[in-house]
Amino acid sequence: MPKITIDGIECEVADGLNVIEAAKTIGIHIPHFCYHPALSLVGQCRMCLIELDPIPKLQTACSTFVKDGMVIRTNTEKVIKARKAIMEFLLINHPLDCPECDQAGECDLQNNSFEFGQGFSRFEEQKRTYSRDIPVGEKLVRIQDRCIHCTRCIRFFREIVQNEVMTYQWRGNNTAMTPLEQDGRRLDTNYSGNMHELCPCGALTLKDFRFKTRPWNLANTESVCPLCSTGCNIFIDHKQRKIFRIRPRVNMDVNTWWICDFGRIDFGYAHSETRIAGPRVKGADADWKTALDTAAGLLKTTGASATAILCSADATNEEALLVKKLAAALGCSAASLPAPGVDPLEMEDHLLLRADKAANTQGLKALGIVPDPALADKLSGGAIKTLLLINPFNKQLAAALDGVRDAVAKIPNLVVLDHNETDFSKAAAVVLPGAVWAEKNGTFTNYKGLVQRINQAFAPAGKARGDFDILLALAQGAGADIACKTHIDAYNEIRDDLLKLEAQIKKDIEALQKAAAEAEKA
Amino acid sequence: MAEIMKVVTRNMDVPDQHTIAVAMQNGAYEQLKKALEMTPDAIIEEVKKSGLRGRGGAGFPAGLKWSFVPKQAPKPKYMCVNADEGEPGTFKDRVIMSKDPHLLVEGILIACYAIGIRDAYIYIRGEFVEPANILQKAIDEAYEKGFIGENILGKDFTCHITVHRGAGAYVCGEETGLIESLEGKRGQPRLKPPFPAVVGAFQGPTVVNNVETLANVPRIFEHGADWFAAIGVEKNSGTRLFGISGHVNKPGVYELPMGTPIRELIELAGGVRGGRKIKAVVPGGSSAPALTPDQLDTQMSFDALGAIGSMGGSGGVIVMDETTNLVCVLTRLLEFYAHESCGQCTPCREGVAWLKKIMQRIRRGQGKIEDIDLMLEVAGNIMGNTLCPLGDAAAMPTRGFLTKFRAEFEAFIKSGANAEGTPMAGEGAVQVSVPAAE
Amino acid sequence: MEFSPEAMKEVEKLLSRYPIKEAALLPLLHIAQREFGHVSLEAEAYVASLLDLPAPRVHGVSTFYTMYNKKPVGKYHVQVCTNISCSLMGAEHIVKCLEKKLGIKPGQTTADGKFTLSEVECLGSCGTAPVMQINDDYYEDLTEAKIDQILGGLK
Ligand SMILES: Cc1cc2nc3c(=O)[nH]c(=O)nc-3n(C[C@H](O)[C@H](O)[C@H](O)COP(=O)(O)O)c2cc1C
Ligand code: SF4
Ligand code: SF4
Ligand code: FES
Ligand code: FES
Repeated sequence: MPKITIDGIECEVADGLNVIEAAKTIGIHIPHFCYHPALSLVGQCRMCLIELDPIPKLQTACSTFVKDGMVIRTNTEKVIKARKAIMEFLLINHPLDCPECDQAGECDLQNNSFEFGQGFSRFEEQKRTYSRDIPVGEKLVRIQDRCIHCTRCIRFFREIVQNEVMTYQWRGNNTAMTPLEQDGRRLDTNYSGNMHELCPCGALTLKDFRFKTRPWNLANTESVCPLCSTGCNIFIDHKQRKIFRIRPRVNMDVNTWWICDFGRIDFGYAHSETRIAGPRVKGADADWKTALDTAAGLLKTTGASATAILCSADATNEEALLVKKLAAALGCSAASLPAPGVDPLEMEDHLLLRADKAANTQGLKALGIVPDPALADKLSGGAIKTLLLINPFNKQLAAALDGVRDAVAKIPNLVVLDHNETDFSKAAAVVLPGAVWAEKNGTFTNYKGLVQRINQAFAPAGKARGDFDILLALAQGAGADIACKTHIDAYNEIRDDLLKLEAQIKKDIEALQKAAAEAEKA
Repeated sequence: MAEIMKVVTRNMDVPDQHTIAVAMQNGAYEQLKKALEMTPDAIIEEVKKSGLRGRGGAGFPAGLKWSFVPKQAPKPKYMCVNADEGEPGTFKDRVIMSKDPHLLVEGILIACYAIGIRDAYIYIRGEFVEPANILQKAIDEAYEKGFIGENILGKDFTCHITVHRGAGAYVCGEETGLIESLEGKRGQPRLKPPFPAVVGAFQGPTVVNNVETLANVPRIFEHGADWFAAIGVEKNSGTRLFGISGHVNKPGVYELPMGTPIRELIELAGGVRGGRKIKAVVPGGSSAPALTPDQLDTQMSFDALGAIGSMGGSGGVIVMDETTNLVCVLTRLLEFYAHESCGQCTPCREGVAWLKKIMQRIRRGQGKIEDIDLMLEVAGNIMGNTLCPLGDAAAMPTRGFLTKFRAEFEAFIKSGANAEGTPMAGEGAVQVSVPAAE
Repeated sequence: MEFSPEAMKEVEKLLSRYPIKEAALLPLLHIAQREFGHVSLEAEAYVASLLDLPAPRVHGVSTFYTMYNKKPVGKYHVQVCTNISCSLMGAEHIVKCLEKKLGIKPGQTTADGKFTLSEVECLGSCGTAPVMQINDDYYEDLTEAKIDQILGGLK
């Protein structure tokens, strides 16, 4: 490990780091725009200039890699002057329209200008302008006037999305970053939304988030995307119990810096008109006590062999534990249904999206809730008279139910626990309004066994309750004696199982990769 | 007075020298034969000993550059011949390629043999259609005669030469911009390191040399390194093809020993037209800060011009007489650099265009005295902070004009004159009277 | 939109000269301009398809270089150098003469589609300033009389 000195501080840093990353390890921030650890190195913005002994010319920190004995200075007069110069250059043609810019508050340009700029402009000439507010695809809005030519967008589409649809137009001071939807390329890839974070200024913003609110008015809750088995780490940005946007949260083990647009944009169901407004019994509104008592009563009426619990893989591990306990108390089975794309490892594209469109297939598996092929027959054959159906709104479960839709709707003692209305909730004897993932605490186990925590951003909408609490009440109603009263208790109870599964999956994946590599060789 | 010394241009007045038949009568490819009998190392040593420095602008020792190329490289090595000739005031490589293309081809082959290169590309600016055709014809002839191609002259040496036309971008004269452009990309210079000698064209080690640099190589082998080293002045050996343009009676290319005083070149070129006085002389292409009349005894060598804060650059000498309006000159210069900035790095993309806009405003008669200091600061903020030297190339002459001729700029601003759309010099040019210095 | 058979032969030959296909892009864009008159978005996409490149990348390249005309130009593209050496020698006057004789401003094309007038940067011929280039040919040491003669010779 090379020993280097930054601003007089001696430190030992990992091999292969550039000076920006090396400085970060000791808490020194070197401002930069074009550098991004995921993208190729271009050294174009010149914001990261530093002094490197004994070279008289300033060097770019992004392209300088640590070597033993390096002496770096980031706080000299020369560096400070150069940063002021670069900031001034970047701003002379910038419209300075922060008051109406969506990026304000989380803008590298604004922040670096505040910290490293000089606070006034000496530019009196006509600014360079382009036509404004050009929609780029369905998801982004481009305001080229604000662009600082960092080329992150071009490199992102070329190197990460691998769909080279952003390009340069012209050169020099007239250079514009242009999407060009030629030869069948579309800007709306499933990853375009990442430009929202990647663009260091307000040149590419999210259409969905436009003029909605200021980012500093939003609370940011750490969570995990529930829409596929990858389990990308996210922030839920919300205000007054409403999600305004989903942003990626860096996790180098899972999603690196990105999330897909599906996960970013598809959160409307949390606030939809079809959210189940309150508990219902036989189609009529009921209070929670009545609904829970009725449901618990129903579940016990037809005997174990005619009773089943069918659960989507969007349940948290903790909820799954309660499902198991409830099933044990009832003596019935708890299962999911086999569905297309349920192999949690299968990729749907080259980057993040997986075929398995549920958050917790692996977790359910660890707890023994697995697809039961016989269940479909029992359902269609009318053998099941009592069914607790949890979250049929989940796309994967809905698809699996497709063949038995009518049969299930006809089950006399159908209890549905879900957050949004479906044909099933409409047909159910008892409806228990549950929570969406943003309203829950708990853990999901992703495709490779990683157990990841989701945090509640806000309480369940309206009269809805957390699924954990609902299941706890049902299990208690069914006569089970349950020690774990909170999701934390539940987690502690299953932790060892989950970790065992993680180790197992890791081994399995390694074996698969090895086999694939050998097949490649052969 | 200095005398023309025809080393590179020796045969250029010979009719049909561009054909291989005539060229061979005058000794073309004899030095290649000689070189192929030598070891590559011995060739590089000889070139080092000659003291040959690059004629493209930076004056980097050619032999040293060649020796930087790793002998064993996992990727093929390449030679890029820089025939982009885009620096305003420079027009010598065109002459070499049109008049004696075989001299260049022979130089390329010797260099490629010495470095172990099988593929050379001549990157010629797109506008040079005729020179490119002449060059291509010469290459075709040399292929036919077995001087280019597989097993040249029956030796274990294979080399191919391809003419590659640019398409209108000065920045592609910068060696890494050239390489990017050769690879079919935008001509945006690369971040260095790695230097081309290590990772260049197509990821392989690459030598970029100017046309004139390589055209000197056969002469070094003809007369010996010592002979070559004795021409010129210390550490600046050989001759240069100085292109003199502007207000002289006989503009053109003059081959003179390195180190000849500028005044003598001007005299050779017939002196200033109309017997007028000189106001300023650009000594080495437009990027070189202009000299004042009292600096004209400076020797035209890389080191002597560097020592007085200018540069030898490309050898393009531009003479401006007393009628020249320097406000127009600097404005036009900045329009050029802004137009040619590739735009990838911030200081050049933004700074040069800013300087241009200020100068255009001054030229319109709307300048303020403070603009001069602002421009000096902006130019200072560009200097040394850019990705490639083009930013510096714009900032240096800006600082040069504004400091050395500040009085004229101030007088113009104070006069409120509008010089937009007026001639840069001579009849009709806007003249301002500059108060004599104290 | 397709190249002529002769042009395709040229393309073949060009491709054999480079270790990667992409390197033939500049020469192919030159051919496209010759074949189609200018480099349109369609021409870019066509060239892209010949080299297996994304069309947007080709657009980035073609807009970088000034010699690729993005719009149709006249039969004769008159390009006058107005850089320093030429301007010192009266390029301003040459442009004015051409404006008068052709009845157009730089950047414009005559109504009959015969001439397009452009101002360009240094043509590398400063010793014979003022200079202009019409299509592939250079015209040097220009004077008003010479311009008359040159234009008169263009049919
Ligand atoms: C903006 C810019 C333009 C240049 N243009 C040319 C050129 O047209 N021809 C040339 O030979 N060198 C040019 N150079 C210099 C080259 O980068 C390089 O130093 C040279 O080709 C090396 O060859 P040499 O060592 O034989 O001189 C230019 C440099 C810069 C920064
Ligand atoms: S649009 Fe944004 S990401 Fe793209 S170059 Fe401009 S500032 Fe950078
Ligand atoms: S200095 Fe100018 S030409 Fe060179 S890389 Fe920067 S923007 Fe491009
Ligand atoms: S971050 Fe280093 S140059 Fe942009
Ligand atoms: S300035 Fe016109 S050709 Fe060089």
